[in-house]
Amino acid sequence: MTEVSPARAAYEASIKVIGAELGASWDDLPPVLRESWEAAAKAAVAATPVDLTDLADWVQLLRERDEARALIAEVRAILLEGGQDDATARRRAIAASAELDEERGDDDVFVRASACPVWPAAASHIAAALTAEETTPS
Amino acid sequence: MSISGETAPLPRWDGMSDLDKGAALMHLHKREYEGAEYAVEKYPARYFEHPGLAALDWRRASEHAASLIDDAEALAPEEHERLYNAALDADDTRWHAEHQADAAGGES
Repeated sequence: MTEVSPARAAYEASIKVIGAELGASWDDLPPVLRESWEAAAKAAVAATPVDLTDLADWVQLLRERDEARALIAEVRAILLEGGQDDATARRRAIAASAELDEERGDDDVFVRASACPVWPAAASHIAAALTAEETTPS
Repeated sequence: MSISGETAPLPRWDGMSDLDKGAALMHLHKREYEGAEYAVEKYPARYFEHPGLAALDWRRASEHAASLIDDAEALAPEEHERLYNAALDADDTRWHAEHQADAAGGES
């Protein structure tokens, strides 16, 4: 069994949660959504102050949020801005995801959300939502 | 599998079509960036054209693609990009065709 870092585990968990929120299997998600969500999730994992060592908390945060569908739509909208087609958007997502992975070697961050110009809006949105949940008194 | 029960040899890199090469490259890319286990689970190789390759189950197809790493690494960047992008477009077309067919089946 390959050892998975907490950040990586959180990112993979977020992908599974989003699939559950959408009520769709992985195979049902259009490729552009799979790969755009992966890249956004990587950026969000890096940007959020959530304690990534507690994977259960991360999953719970995602599950409790009503705007999962809106996030997906937003990520897609960001990708498709400028009227590009799904295939072009998918290429951008793949490139961004790979670039984020390349950044993983840095000590200061798992990935730098600002490293990929395509992603800051989506990543910031996700991170802000998570941060608000962390800091809002119940 | 042939009628006699013998398994036809699967083509190696030089015997594969451009689209099948691209399919292998797509899987290899995911292995490199997402790890082998995740890539096999989420992005298994799915060949397009050669009947023997297209008939492989997802795990065996991924193993076949993984075995082509040396050939993939020997490609010039421009050729890698050409093959990869052709397969990416074909994969999107296939996904939409499969899901339109599913939707049509669900409506009948």
